Amino acid sequence: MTTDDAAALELHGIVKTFPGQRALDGVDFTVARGEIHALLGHNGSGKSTLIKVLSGFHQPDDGRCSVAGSRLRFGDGVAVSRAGVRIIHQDIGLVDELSVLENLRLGVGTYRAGTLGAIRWRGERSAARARLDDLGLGHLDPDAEVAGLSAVERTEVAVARAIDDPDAIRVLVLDEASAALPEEQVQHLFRLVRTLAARGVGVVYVTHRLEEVIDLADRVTVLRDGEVVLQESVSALTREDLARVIAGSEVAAVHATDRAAGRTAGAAVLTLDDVVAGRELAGASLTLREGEVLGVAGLAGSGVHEVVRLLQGRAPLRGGTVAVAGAPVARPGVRALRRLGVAVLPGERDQKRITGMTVAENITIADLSPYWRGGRFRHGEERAEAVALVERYRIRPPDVRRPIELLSGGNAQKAYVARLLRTAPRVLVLEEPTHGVDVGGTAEILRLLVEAARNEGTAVLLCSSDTDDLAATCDRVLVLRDGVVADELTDKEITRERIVELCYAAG
Amino acid sequence: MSESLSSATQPAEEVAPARHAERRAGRIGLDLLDRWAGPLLLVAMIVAFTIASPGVFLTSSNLLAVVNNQTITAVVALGLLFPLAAGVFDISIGGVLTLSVITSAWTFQQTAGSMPVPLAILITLAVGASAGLVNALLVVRLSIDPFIVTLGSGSIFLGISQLVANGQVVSRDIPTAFTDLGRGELFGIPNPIVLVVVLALIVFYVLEMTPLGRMIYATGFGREQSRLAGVPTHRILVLAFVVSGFCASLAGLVYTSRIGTGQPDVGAQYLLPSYAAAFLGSTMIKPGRFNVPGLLVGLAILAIGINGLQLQGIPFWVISTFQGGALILAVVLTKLRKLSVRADG
Repeated sequence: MTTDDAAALELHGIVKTFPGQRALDGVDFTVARGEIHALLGHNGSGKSTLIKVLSGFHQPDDGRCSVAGSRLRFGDGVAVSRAGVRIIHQDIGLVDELSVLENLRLGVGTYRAGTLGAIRWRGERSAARARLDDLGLGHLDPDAEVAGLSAVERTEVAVARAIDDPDAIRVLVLDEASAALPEEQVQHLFRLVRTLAARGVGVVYVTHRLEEVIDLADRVTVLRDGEVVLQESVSALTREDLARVIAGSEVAAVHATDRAAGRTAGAAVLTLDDVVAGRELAGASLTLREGEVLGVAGLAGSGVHEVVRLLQGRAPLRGGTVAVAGAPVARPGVRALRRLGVAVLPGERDQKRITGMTVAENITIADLSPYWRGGRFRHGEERAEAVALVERYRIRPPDVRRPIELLSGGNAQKAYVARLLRTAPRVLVLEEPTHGVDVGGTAEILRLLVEAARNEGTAVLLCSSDTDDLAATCDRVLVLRDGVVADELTDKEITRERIVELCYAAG
Repeated sequence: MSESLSSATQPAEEVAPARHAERRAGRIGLDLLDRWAGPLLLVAMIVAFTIASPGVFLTSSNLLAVVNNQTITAVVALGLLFPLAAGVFDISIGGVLTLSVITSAWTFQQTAGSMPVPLAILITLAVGASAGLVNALLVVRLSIDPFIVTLGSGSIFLGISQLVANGQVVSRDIPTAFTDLGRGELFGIPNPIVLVVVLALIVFYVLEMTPLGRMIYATGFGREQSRLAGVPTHRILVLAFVVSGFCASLAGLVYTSRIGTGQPDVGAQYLLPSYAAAFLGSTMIKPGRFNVPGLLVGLAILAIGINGLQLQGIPFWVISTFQGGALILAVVLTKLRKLSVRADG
């Protein structure tokens, strides 16, 4: 039975338990037609589980679901898809080596075959172009290889792929689709989401960025410990309200530190001089001093990501010099930079997670020497240190013997930060350290970075597209444009608005 | 700032302690079964064959023969643990073994038996280690898939062996000082068994009780992630292939010194059982990791299974079927285990 006034999506009384964990405890969740509904919560609050119940991946213990008024059976991915539900995950599942067109055709529907079953490419191409135009994505070339697209274009392809038949789509779930997007590109995604909502699609928008909720969503649902703790219209809410509800306690606003005020800058530990590297850096110079937190901001393509890759030892240096503690590094490769005390937390999860090893092993792998004495590996000491770090970083669940892949994204991220800070690096480079991390975890990670800088004298280079993080923690902020350091902000100049403004500034 | 932030986080989720403890107990039970099912199976097999073949199976002569027959496979497989733990396949071990058998026999033949035994051994081991080094350089320097590299190089090593041996069995002038090593005993225990025990202890020590071992496993679980975290993954891969080649070569020496001749086609038969034992071993004691105790139990299950069935008069083709079946079973078990871990989350 499909009625016009039925909600696009209705989940009622969803219960799901895992061994040792009650993930969802009677969750009700309704999305009206044409509504953009934000779904928020801590890492481990049950958001992902709820999405996985909807997608058919998890079979719930109890509850029911209907899409556009029709009852839906759980645990059947095909039925979910047939009912008009589309889910786009954080890792959007495109095949890099294939073209936009081929990706659009991947999984959903089949090619229209001609005689002898050959694909009619010309027809396929014009159909793809029509579909992209229809969604306002005319700038995407069906023949472009996906590997060459920007982050937001990839997301757009993923959405276009999901919207295979615009009339049949009832619900679109975007599971942290914006997490990998720089701030200015998020607007493109918003435009697309609004286009779809205007056609009556119910959109579920999962994110950690509270600003996005305020900007985009009509209503918001906040989950905590598997229960709905807030469900109301966004218009009445502020960012602070949301942060408070998510955390479940009074969250002190993250605000500026005593910033360089009265503190004399330390010696230069890392200098880039006129660096040309990778695809983007075209003569970038910067100096990072002992004990400071230096922020690096910039739009996609501005060179921020290449700075990270360069300091990882993965982007070939084609010009200029990289110097650590005053000494130029002739060949800045992975091992050479590590040896000089440059530690990097990359943005991509698959550069950090050693799947199959425990939380403890993932934390300690960067330096095992403290446990190696008298020809024996001191497993007890390793465990004790890991337990202490898990305690200090509030990694949940606090079980160091758990395989790392069983941690939620935010908790795993804390483990990787622990991995790096444990080695007491001279230079700590972090790329998007709080992506996908909940409000409390973000504050925790930022606090640890500032502490490392203040107490250990670590030089911290914070490359982030989260301007709140930058404004909250940095002593100075550099803004990159077109592969060079275009601006520097200090003291009171460091505000969210100013950073964004400079990122967009022309030439 | 640090003060204002320290109160910002709350534990994400707390579960009622009693329920937690209960589930924990359940999980520990499953854990034990997961780890010890293999050894239990071994014990069950021994009991079953003792009853099925009374007075024949459970005799010291039969069991000693079973163990002694496994020594060559055991030496190969212990070396194989290094590349497997480091996440790469080395299927050239059969070729390296053959090459070593021929090298050792041929050095004696060429020198009419005057080659000093220690020197011949040294040369042979150097050949094996170099073969491993060639594999490693192709894999690390040129980033070629290890499976393809070792598939090709193994065949080349076999080809070289056939060339050197001229397609014949090399058996002239192998001195008794050499064959005594393979046929002799230490305190009543055949030398090859002593070698396996010593080698197993060394490999166990390296893999479980040194940072090197941990870094080998880390390389296997995530090569790029480990490299970025500071693990010298290239050197670890080189080491893994060299150790694997060295051990295959050691196994070749055991073979020649026991049989007293060098046959240019011996290696292939040890490839499958060593993989079967290693994969079977990775499902027990320390499930999910290639480990020494697991490997030894895996070897024992294969050897005793085949021996027990043979005593029952089971035909010859059972051996291959049994080994292949065990390999696939082991991989299936690993897969099921991974699925259950995921569902746990």
